[in-house]
Amino acid sequence: MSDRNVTKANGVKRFFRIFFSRGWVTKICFGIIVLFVLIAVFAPVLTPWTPYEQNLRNILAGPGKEHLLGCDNIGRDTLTRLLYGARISLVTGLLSSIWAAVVGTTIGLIAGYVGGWVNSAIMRITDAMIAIPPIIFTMVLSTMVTGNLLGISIVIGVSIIPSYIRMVNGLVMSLRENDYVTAADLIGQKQLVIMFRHLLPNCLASLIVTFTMNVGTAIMLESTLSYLGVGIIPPTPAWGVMVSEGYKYLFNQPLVAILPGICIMLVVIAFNIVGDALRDALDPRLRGKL
Amino acid sequence: MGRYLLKRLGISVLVVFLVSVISFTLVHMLPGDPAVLALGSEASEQDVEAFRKEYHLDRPVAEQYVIWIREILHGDLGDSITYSRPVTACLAERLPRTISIGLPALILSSMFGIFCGIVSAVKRGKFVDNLITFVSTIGLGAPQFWLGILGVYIFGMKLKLLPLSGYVAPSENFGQYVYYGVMPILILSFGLLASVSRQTRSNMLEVINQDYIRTARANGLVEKSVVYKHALKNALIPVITTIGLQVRVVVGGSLMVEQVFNIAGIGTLIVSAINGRDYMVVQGCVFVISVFIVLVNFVIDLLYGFVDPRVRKSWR
Repeated sequence: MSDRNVTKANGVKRFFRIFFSRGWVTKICFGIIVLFVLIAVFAPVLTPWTPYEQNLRNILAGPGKEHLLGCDNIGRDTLTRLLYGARISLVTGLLSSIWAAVVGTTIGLIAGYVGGWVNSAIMRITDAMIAIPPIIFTMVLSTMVTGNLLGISIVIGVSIIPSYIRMVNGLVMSLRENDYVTAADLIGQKQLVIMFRHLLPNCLASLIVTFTMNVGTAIMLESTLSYLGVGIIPPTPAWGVMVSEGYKYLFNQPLVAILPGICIMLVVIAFNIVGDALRDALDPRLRGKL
Repeated sequence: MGRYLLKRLGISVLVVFLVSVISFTLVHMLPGDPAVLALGSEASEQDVEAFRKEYHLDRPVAEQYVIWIREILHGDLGDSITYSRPVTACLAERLPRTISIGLPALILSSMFGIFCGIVSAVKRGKFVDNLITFVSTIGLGAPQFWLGILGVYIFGMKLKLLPLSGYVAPSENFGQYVYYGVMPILILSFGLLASVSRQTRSNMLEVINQDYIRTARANGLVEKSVVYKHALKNALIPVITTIGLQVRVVVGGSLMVEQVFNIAGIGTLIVSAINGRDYMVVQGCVFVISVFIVLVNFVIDLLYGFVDPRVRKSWR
């Protein structure tokens, strides 16, 4: 038992060593994610204002003592709205990736294990879904959910499900040829047990990597939808909404439109790079590749 | 080879059929009554009925689908509800604009992306490599609509070098087309450039470590010839797939770029059609775009065979 604990501890140590071995870039990106999570959690404590509080005296005010990053076109504090925007982005990003992971993994697992025409049918439908550009796909769907956070998360989730299906499906197709699967089959294990007890854990490493990357993709999609006016709707302080509102006043107060974009970029890049580092640490076979 | 071709073609046709089902279902899930939206809430009962009849909205959904497919096979995508003209006419009018922005972006980013990827791989770990990696990371992480706005602010408002928005067709006045088009094209290519250069870089690195490259070097070939003659050929094969996949990204990206720069292309058509519940336009656009993407992927599959003899062998 203690032996097992030691190897486990070594494994964890090894994981962290490789995870951070890419140097300071990974560390910074990991830090950015932690920072934005903290901001999202503690947003109300970090600022004396609320994201909806208007002050007509401060319309398009520049950075100052009271409003550190200035105000928007109806006098709302930009910094406050940015802080609260982190909540929207992270919640939609995580929520949509989680639900897509659950659905996509299950479908991919079943299709890959059962094989035959079920597999072909599911893969062709996945192909067709991938052929439709995700922005257009989600734009059409999002008109059904009228701007609420949960609805948008579900819609974005639907568009990233195919990526999980493809990934898990490909893995399972090769995994099921392994001897331990045959052995489990021979001792009379139920198919569901084989799928979820034996095959699923072997997909976990790739799943975590795909998940991390998809959080970034989902945040990007959410902000794009919000920018186009079919995602989160104003006055909710989503970053995409802020860019789209600020665009009209770009000449007078560029900060309102430009700062939220920087936040989106930082978070998306951070998730991408941490995903890369995770891949190195979790899946040695893929090291050095994209 | 014939059998392989037929099989691939069969799969593509199947996917196109599924795409038509998905785009049809997707559009019919849109909330709101298109008749009421087109005629206004003041419209009389009869008018609404007549409108429904004209656009076959009174039939069962399955029948509407069959009617739509039958029309597509006759080269007709139905009539737009808001513009009251054929969808094909709307597409014909707007497609050239989207292509005149998207195609240069695709070509530019592919060429420049491959070049950056090679440089990055050859100078691995050096300053140039880090710089290219840094720029591509930004290209992949920055939202395109935001890049557009940033461009407008810096080059349009502050430096007053380029126009804020607008579009001139290349057939009308080529100089003006370049003047108005340079920013949308560059911004659209930025994201693509990043993925092409990253893909090229990792392929090059993989190929450079292979035995035949070592042999070429051992035979005393000049490094330039090793890189450009021997390594590049094999490294570029997977890049074709990436470029093919980029067509999808170009379509999505042009939607945003058109929105920011106020270009009346396919992107703005889709956005306004979705907001106006113009069933026919939305499903027509989604269908045409997706079929185009399936087609591109099919062609790329074939190209693979011509470029790579190993793939051609497996076709038999």
